[in-house]
Amino acid sequence: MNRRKKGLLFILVAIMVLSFALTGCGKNKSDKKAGGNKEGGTLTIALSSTPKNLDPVKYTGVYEGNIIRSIGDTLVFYDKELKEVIPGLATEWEISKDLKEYKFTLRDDVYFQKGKYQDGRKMTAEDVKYSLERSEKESAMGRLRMLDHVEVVSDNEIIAYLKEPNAAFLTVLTDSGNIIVPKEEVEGWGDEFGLHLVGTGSYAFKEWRKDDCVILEKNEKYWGSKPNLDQVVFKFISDTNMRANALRTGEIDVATDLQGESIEAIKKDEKLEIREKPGMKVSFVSMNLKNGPTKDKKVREAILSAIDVDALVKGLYSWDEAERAYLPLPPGSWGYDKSIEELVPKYDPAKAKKLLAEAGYPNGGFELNIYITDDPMRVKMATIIQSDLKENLNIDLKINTAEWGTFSDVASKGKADLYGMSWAWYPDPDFFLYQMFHSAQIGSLGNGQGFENAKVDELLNRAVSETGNQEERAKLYQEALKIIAEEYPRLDYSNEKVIYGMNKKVKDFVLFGDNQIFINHPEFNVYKEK
Amino acid sequence: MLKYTLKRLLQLIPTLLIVVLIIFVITRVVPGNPAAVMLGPQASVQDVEKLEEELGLNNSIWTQMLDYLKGLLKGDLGKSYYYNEPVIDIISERFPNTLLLSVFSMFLSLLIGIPAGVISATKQYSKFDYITMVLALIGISMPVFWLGLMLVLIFSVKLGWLPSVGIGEAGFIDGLKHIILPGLSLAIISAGVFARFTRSSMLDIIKEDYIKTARAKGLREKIVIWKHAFKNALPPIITIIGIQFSSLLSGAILTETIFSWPGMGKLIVDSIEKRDYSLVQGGVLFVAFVYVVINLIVDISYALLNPKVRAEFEGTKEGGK
Repeated sequence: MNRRKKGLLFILVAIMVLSFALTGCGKNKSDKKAGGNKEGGTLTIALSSTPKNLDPVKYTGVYEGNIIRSIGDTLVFYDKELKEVIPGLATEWEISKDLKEYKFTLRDDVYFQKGKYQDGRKMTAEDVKYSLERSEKESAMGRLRMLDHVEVVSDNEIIAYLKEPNAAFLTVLTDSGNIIVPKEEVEGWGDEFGLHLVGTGSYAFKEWRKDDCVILEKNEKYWGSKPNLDQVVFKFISDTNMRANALRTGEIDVATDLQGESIEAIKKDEKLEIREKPGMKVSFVSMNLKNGPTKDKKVREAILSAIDVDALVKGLYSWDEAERAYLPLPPGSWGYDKSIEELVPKYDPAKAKKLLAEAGYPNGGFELNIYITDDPMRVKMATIIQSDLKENLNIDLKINTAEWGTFSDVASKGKADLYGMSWAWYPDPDFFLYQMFHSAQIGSLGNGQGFENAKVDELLNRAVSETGNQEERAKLYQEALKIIAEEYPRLDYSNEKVIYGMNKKVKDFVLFGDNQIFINHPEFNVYKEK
Repeated sequence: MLKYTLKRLLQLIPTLLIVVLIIFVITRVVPGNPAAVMLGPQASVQDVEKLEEELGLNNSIWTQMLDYLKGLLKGDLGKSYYYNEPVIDIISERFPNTLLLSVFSMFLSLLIGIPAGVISATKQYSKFDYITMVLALIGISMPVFWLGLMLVLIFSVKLGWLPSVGIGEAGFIDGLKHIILPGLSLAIISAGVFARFTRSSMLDIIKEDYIKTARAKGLREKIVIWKHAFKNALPPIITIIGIQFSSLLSGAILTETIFSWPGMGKLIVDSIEKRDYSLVQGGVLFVAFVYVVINLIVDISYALLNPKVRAEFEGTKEGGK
């Protein structure tokens, strides 16, 4: 028996030693490297999801995009306020009158990071052509679907020809799916390129410990301002409270996507701070415009008038994590127009009842199905709306929760009376309004409600094809927004803020409304105080 | 005995085949299109259709299943849509982590649970018995995620002794530090189960005549308890150990999520959410395999421990023929 016990103990210890030898993630030992005040150290950022693929054409999640962004650069970036497009790998650009040709002048001091198939050679115009055309052909998300082809004009000039006029092309180029990558590496690694990404960014890919972290290291040959940190570690911690805890213990320096009580805990800690910014995100409940009682505009107006949105937002975001929304576009977008908020029905139960009676339901008495994901916040939202509708209109709201796969299937196929979700994308209104209100998008999740309006279609088309001028485009979007608001297609209830917890030693870290993470951006360069 | 073992091993094949068929059908019957899930809310209809074709999702379910079974025969579990890597590689990366956590927490819980149960039984209705059983009840009833969070708040945030997340850097000491909290939060719950089971099983045995005889023979109490009583009380305890251990090995989902422990539980839940069919199939098949193998080991150890059971097994086998 004793011998057996010893044997068991031996096996146990052997397994543990072996597994630990396989290494894990965390702080790097070279944390206290000397140098300038800003130089050195490891910045550990906790993301809320686990990346699957870092190939720019294959990535699908924001968190993946955020890692890619440090490894590679795009031709242009958005400025930190998300108002203007600024130079990246391209120093300047010219757009043809018909919005179909974009000519870029490229930097000539850009080098790739070293990889297995090239030793850190110079980036050329051919690489830009290769990368953009690859994105057009292979991007799972169709990120460059408007691109026809790219022509190399000279060593440092290219022209991108579009299939159709598109004023949102520069915005699309800022996506980390469109970083410039070396052909040798892509072809050399084949399917595994996503595990060995090489780009021109300020931090180079070093190691990926699956489900645990991705480690990047400083790229000494970076073309822009020299990266300050020795290493950047993206660590994956899916639980909000645990991200906050890891921040409090000092295991990480930045905790992204914070919610709820964890925010309070961080505020109380002297070494830490909470940083927040209005987000590029709208949460909403869409109503079925094709079938069921909500097909009737009066019913929709009645529903909107019966929901106390201010109380809803207060009830949902106890830690002030969001602002009340009115329109299907976040106020941070340059297309937003505050005056249209007026068109959204105000909370007025008496009027709601009257409207419902006019629509032929004097005593309510019908049932509606709402579909949401099993996210507790959505469940809470649906429950509050359920009680508002019951109390004010005698409508029975049946709450159906499902995980994402089922939810997206039901919602996009127009099978739900109501469905609740969020939408976040680039600051260009095209990525909100076209995706969610253009009739061409019916059948995809964006326009699962089936919004169809010829005038809106026309305005949305004109906004990307008629002019590249941001102000003029904004006007077209505002006009479309007005028509949309008057149709009462859905309840836009909140704009969630981007909330990060941070160790106060982290300096120069800028939050982006669209939840992008830049460690080294033309306008700032993150460092860690000693 | 050998024949019995072989027969049980052969039975594994139809069991696993049924598992494969059930999982295959279930993953496809549940609504939700992997292509749409992969691409997220912003994908257009065309993107989704393009990806569906690439992934071979346009083929009929029977063609897909036949392809899968053909692959299985060659030991190929398919490729994950998401990771773009062979399923077997992904599992073999995660399983060692789960195994490590399971073995560690199992070891801890046995170390606490079994002696506590035995002592409680021998000192029935004593203060020790009452306290242990109340603690065991608390242990069993505590939600594991809550326990995990509390442990982190105390040992990581307040005291700063142990790290809160991840699996740790290279080296034994760092690894040990990282495994203590997740291991402990699992162990406390299993220990409660073991303590209660051991106690009740021991109580049944202690009342037996042969224990009285052993005592009458003048054997030392320690020997009576551990050698005579405990050995006979062991079979039901082993069953429960087997069940606990196999459920740990299939991945302690909540614990792995809370502590960001890159193991099987997290992997399977993730892949279900993402509709990563081949990864779900591979993962569940693997877990089912682990389950049946552990069950087999439990049954065999039953027979080894108890000659009576062994005789019965062999008897039935003979009788069956």
